[in-house]
Amino acid sequence: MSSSTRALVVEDDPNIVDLIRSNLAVRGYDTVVSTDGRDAIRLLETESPDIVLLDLMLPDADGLELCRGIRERSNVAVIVVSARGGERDKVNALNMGADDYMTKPFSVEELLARITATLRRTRPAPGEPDAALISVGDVTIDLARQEVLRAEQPVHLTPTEFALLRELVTNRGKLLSHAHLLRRVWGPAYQTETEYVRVYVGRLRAKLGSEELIRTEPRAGYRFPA
Amino acid sequence: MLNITGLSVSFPNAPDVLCDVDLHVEAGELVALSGEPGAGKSALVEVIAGDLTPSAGSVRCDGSVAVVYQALELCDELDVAANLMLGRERHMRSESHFHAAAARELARLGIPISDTTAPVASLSLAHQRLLALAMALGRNPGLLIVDDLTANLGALASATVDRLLHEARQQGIAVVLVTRDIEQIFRLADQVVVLAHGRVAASLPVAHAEREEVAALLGEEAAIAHREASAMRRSQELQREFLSRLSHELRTPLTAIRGYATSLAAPDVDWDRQSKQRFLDRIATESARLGRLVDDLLDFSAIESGVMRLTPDWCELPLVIDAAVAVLPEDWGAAVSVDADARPLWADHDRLEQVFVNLIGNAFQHNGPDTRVQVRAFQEGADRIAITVADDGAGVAGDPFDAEHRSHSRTSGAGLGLNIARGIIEAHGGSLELAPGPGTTFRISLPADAEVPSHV
Repeated sequence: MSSSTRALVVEDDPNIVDLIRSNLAVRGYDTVVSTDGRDAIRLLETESPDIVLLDLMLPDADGLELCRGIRERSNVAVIVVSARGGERDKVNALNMGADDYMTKPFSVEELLARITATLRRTRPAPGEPDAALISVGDVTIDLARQEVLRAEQPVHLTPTEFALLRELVTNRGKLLSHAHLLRRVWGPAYQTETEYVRVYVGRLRAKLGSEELIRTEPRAGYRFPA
Repeated sequence: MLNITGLSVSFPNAPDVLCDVDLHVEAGELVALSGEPGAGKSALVEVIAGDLTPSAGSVRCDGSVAVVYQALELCDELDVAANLMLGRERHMRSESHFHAAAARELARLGIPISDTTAPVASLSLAHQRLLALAMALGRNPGLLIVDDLTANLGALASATVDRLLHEARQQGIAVVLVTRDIEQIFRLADQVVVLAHGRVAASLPVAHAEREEVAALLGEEAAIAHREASAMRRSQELQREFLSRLSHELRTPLTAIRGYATSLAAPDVDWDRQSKQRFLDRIATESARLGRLVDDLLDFSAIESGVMRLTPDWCELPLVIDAAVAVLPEDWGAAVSVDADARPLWADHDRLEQVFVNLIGNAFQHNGPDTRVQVRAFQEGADRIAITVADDGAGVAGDPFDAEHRSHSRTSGAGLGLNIARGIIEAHGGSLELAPGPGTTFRISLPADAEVPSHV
C-alpha cells in the first residue's frame, strides 16, 4: 500500500487502538486516532482520511448515527468494527452507509484484507471513455464521466454503489448471481456475504427511485433490463 | 353490522345466562369479547349464530355469520380440500382442479398446509384451527366470530391467526374475537367487552384502556397471568441487555489477544523487540482479565441457580479483610483503613474475602485512585455482626445491584461484582444493602452465633 494511505481509527479501547495502529504503521499507513464521536467528525474534516475504522460502541455517541454522519459529509471508505455479529447489526450498519463490517474478535489478516478490498472498491475506477450513455426511464447513467442523473438531477452515489451499478449496467440483460456481484464488486473473499448485495441493491433502488431498474430474480440474482 | 340490544337468555329456576346485554360491531371493526369462564361468552356466541333463542331483546346482523368454534367443527374423516371447499365442490370440474383450488386458497391465505389430500384428523391442532378459520373466511361472511382460537397455540400459528383476522377486517368483515388473552386483546381489538355473570361488566375502547384495568376485570387468574407475562417480558429485556453487554465485555479482551497473537504470527513483519514485548504483555494481561470475567460469570450463575457451595470454618474478620486488601493493587490497599472488632464467625473465608475485594475494588473503580475507603466491623446485638464498607466518592445513582444499572455503567468487567458479593452474603444467611451516606456505603449484616468454640 502506498505510504500516503491514511486511516482514521475511531475506537475507545487502548489495546485495540495500539493493535490497529501498530499493524498499519508497520505496513506504511498513516494512522489518526479518535476515542470519541465528536473528535472523529473533526478529524474526518481536518485529516481527510482514505478509510475510517469505526467502532460502534463509543462513550459519547451512537456508532450507527456517527456512521451516517460520516457518510453525509464524505465518500470515505468506512469499515464498521463491532462486537455484535448478528445479521441485523450488519444490515443496519450497511444501511447507514458502511462499506464493510468486521466482527470482534478479528485476526490481523482479516483486518488487512478488509482494508485492502474496501480501499480497492471505493477508489474511483478509471472512467470508460468509449461508453455510451445509458438511459432507462428518467435515469441516465454516464459510465465515462461516472455520473448518474435522475430527472436531469445528479444522483449522489458512493463509490461502492457506483461500482455495483456499473457491474449491473455493463452486463445489462444478463442475470447476475449474488456470488458474481459479490466477487466482482466486493472481492473474492466476500462471496457468501449476500446481505451486502441485498442492502446495496436496496440503496441503489432508493436513490434511483425505481424498483424496475434492478430486477430481482428470486433465488437467482439481479438483472438490469437490456 | 351487528346490533344487539337488551339481550337476555334465561331458563326457569336458574340464574340468568345473559341479562340485558348490548353489543355493537361495525363492519371492519374487531371487538374482543372477554370474561371469566362461565360469564356468558359462549351463550352470546350461540345466540348470534342462531343456535340459542333469546328470552328478551333484539339481535340484528346485516350480513351472513361465520363462526369458528373452540370445539372445531371439521369433518375428521374428510381431507383438507374437502373440508375447506365444503359446500363449494359442485363447481369443480375434476378432483385435481378441486385440490389445486384448495391449495391456491391456502397459499393465498398464507396457511402452511401443503398436502390437501391429508385427512384432517392427521393435522396438528394448529393446522386444524387455521383450516377452520380458512373455511369460515371462505364463506365471505359479513360477521366472523372466532371463539378462543389461539389458546395453547404456538407463536407462529398465533401470528398467522392475528394476520388473518387483521386481513379480514381490512376487507370490511366485522369480527367478534372471544379471548382471555390480554396481549391479544391489546394487539388486535378496537373495543373490549367484558362479561361477568351474564352482564356487560365493562365496554372499553382499547386505545384508551390500560392492561391492568382489563386484567382486573378478567378475574384473579387473568390478572396473575398478566403480571407474570409482564415480569417475564421485563426480565427478558434485562437478560438481553445483560447478554449484549457481556458479549462486549468478553469480546474486548479476546479481540486484543487474537489481534496481538496474529500480529506476532504475521509472516510479512519482523516486529522490533519492544513491540514484541508489549504485545506479549498485553496478551498476558488480557488473558488474565478474561479469566476473571469467566470466574465472575461462573460465580454469578452459581448464585443465580442457588448452587453456590460454601466451605465454612471459623473466620477472624480482621484477617479476612487484610487478605482482601493484600489482593488489591498496592496504592489502593494503602488507602483502606480497617477497624474490625467482632467475634469470629462461621463462614467461608475465601468467599468473604471475595466480597471485600469486590466492594473495595468497586469503590476505586467508580471514584478513581484518590478515593479513601473505610471498613468497619462491629458486633450488632448478641447474634449478628455488622460490617460497613464506605468510600468518600460521589455516591451512586440508582440501584447498583440492578441489571439495568450494570448495563449502563462503563466500568470494566461484566459489572457482576456487587451481585456476586450480595449472593455470597445471602448464602451465609446475611444481607448486603446500600446504606445512606455522603459517599457510597455498603452495609453487611451476618449472623454470628454466640457460641464460639474455645479452641478459636
